Amino acid sequence: MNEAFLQASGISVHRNGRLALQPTDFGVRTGETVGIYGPNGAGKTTLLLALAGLLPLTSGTIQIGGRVLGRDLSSLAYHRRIAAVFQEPLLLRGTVFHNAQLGLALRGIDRTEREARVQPVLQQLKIAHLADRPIGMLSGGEAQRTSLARALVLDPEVLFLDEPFAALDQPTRRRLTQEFAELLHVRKMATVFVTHDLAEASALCNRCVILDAGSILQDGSPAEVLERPQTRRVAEITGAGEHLS
Amino acid sequence: MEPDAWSYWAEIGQGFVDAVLLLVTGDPETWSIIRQSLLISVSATLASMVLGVPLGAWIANAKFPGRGVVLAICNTGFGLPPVVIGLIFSILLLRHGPLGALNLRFTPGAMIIGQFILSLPIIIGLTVVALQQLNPKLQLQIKALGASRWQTLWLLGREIRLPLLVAYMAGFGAVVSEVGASQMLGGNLPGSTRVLTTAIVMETGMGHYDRAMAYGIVLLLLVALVVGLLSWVQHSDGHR
Repeated sequence: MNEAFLQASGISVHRNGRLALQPTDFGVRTGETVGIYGPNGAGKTTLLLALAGLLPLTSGTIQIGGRVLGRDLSSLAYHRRIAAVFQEPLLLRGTVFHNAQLGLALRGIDRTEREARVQPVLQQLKIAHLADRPIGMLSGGEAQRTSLARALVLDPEVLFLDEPFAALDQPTRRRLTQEFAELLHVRKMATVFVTHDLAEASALCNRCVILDAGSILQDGSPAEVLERPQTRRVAEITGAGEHLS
Repeated sequence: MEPDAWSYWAEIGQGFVDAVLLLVTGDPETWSIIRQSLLISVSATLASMVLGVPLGAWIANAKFPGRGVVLAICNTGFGLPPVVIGLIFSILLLRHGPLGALNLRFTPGAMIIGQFILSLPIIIGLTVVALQQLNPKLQLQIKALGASRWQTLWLLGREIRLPLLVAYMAGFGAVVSEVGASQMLGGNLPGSTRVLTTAIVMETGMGHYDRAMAYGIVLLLLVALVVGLLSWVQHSDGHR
């Protein structure tokens, strides 16, 4: 097995006075999409935010490409190698284009290059015709596509997705999931994907991690996790019995 | 209507016509008062923004013991009686007082200080409210986009630019129309510390209703301008 491009070792996180993430090891390789699945309050978002360097760690280290965050690499330098998309689009005032190019602008890239990099991504995500539209006039699906474009434009080495399709209606969600699976296949980056939906995890992920009460219970391919749960709790969480029947 | 009542209304009407004439003919005294009013109140509110916005941003994000008390003080500041501020700073600025060495009593500088103190809690309070209304995850998203600390502050400030404009206008509106602190700290000296509100009080006392009304019209126009500007900005911002 290749060495993980992003490697977290023994990371734990305290939130609101309790240990929300138990000491955890987690790795993801380039080209791999890892789904994090678990019940509400399992610590999925905490794990993702910790991996993305957006929460202070209680213990442990995070390495990207062999460089340790906070020792060999500043927080800013780390964030300029990754991108994150959340459940809400979290767009800023302005147009679709303004939002899509924002990360590039923050890196000091000139406008000509920004335009050259943004246009193909807007086309891939089928929102090129909306480039000049103010964000207040977008539908939920269009806003989330803009948020995805803003992340993909950066060509990140690691992409973090926190239930990016959860707030969308079912048809939009299915369509976006399918399109996004194709994009991930083409782009070959390391992706960490928090989801509440096992079908979504199966469609997008090579690996699936089952999380409960801040601990990883099982780590394997979506088929393995579904068909061969290692514990009764995993079976309960995935509803393995239902899937098998 | 009785003859006395006719004469009363005629005088008021004449006063209004004279007020308009004072404004349109460019009467030097009237325009000097308008200029001083704008200079003092705009400077005081700008100074409050420079200090109040960063302070508000800090209070909105920081967690420290007594934060609630600080916020309560800011909210109390919304109702600071100008005359009390005038009294406090008059005492502080007395020749042998702690700020006496500044020699600012009865100068525009003293009025700017008074109006700065009056508008500061308004700016801080409205900045805190504006930042607390933003989605808390927005800051994480901006960080994840690779923004430095200054870029993050700039982007958050851009997000709350409309509430910040409202804060400025609210602060300006409060200080341009107050009379207590301005009278006590400025002394209503012509060409220097005479502003619209102190001039209205003086001219009314002297029975010069035409001039008092001219200044009153200007104050009302300033308020209309502030409200109009805010409505325009809100309208244009609603599409973004």
